[in-house]
Amino acid sequence: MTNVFKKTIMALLLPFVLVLVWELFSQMGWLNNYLLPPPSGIMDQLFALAHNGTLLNHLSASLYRVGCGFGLAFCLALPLGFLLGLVPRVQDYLSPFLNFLQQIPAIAWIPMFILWLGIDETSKISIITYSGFFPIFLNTMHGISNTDSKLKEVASTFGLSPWQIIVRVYLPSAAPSVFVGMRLGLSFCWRSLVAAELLGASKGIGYLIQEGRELAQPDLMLAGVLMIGITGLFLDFVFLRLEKTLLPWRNTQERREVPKWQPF
Amino acid sequence: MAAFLKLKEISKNYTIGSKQIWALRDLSFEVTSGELICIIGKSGCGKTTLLRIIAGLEKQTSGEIILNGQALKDTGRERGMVFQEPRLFPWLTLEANIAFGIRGRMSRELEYKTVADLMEMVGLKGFAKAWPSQLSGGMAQRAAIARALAVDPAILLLDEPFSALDALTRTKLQTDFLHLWQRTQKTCIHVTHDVDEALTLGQKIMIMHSNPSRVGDIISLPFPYPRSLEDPELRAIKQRVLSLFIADSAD
Repeated sequence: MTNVFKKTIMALLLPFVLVLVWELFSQMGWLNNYLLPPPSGIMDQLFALAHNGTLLNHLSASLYRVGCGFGLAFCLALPLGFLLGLVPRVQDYLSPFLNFLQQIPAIAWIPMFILWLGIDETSKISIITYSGFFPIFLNTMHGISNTDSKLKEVASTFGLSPWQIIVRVYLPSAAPSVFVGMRLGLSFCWRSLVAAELLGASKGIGYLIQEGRELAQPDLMLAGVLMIGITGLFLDFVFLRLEKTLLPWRNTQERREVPKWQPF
Repeated sequence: MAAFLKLKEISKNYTIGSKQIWALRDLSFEVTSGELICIIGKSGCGKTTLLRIIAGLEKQTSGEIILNGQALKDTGRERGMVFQEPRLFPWLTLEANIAFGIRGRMSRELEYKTVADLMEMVGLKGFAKAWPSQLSGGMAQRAAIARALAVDPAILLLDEPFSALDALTRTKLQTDFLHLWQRTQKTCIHVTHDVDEALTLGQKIMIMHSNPSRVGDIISLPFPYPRSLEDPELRAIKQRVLSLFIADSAD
């Protein structure tokens, strides 16, 4: 517990010092308060937004889009990743094409997606799905195809059917990799969300920033940026905890200091 | 006693480039029920290949393996395999690793009892919830033996199971393995390159020659357990085995 406490302090030290210096400089009048509003100003703005409920409104709109987009990306990428991981021959056909698609950032697709799917939710969710798809897909595929063949042999000496080997060896073996993919995917989704919202949205955190630009309110823009960072950090943290709970064997060394017993 | 496991003219060849390499050539031998036989040979003589063929992990090019009157093909639960490395599943606790082969094939209570008995038998009592990464090499190998025994195989195949362990741990595991074998009366084929290990454990030693591999001499060891390698008779046999090894290197 003290360890967690220490780590939290260490993690907060740099942002704290930065904010302190920034605020100090603003108070001394060394910074242009329009170009770079003081942290206290941004906090005031944030509290005001939180108080009148608009912040929650924008945040929930954004989270809803990411939830849909990420969920869809996960549902598409996971089975496809499994399939290609299990059948390496198909990889040769699909990999180059997927590699090509992977090079194209989601933002590049935004105009086309809007043209095809309209300006409302569908195109935004599609953009998010697109950017979350690749990390999940690639990590799942590699996780499956990197399954230790020695463990597969063990399973086959117990007379397990191919299906049982998939469920009892491939899946758990690929799970850590899938988790890495999901964390990356979620972070990609969250980042592309803002891009999608900057173009034609009526609510959402990205829209909040856009509004700040139109109203020439830098504190509103920075409040939006801050919210993106904090929410992204929080989502990643939730996933890390989930991974620790679901894959306890991954962190035996860190979590429990158990020596390698030598009773012989 | 009737042969329990019969190998008839087993051959295995690989094609490397345009060359045919014989890993095994016309290898035949028999194992009786309950016997502990040690196969010994230099590295590269094909002893591991032979064991993997019996386990069904590799296919012989020709020949036949008969277990209990039935020709074998593929892998099967009647043959338990212990590898050189423990090969435990890192995502399963020790008890779940041992239960791997019996999971879903019996009631939970019976499974629990089987695993608890085995853990006691191999000396892992109290480590049920440990992760494989928390175990020493010796403990992991004990777990691997327990896992193979859990499905109650007719024959246990061991591929240099103690070779990666330090000398002290190895001696302890050899002793414990002997007790285990005496208790379970399993038929065991134990592959090793360690002459002392073969002399300590085997009721019979089969010496494999290389290039191409074939069965050399089969030496019976009708000595009671536990054995002392200081015993003059065993020392004489050790000299004989070693001289056969040297003769093998000469050709």
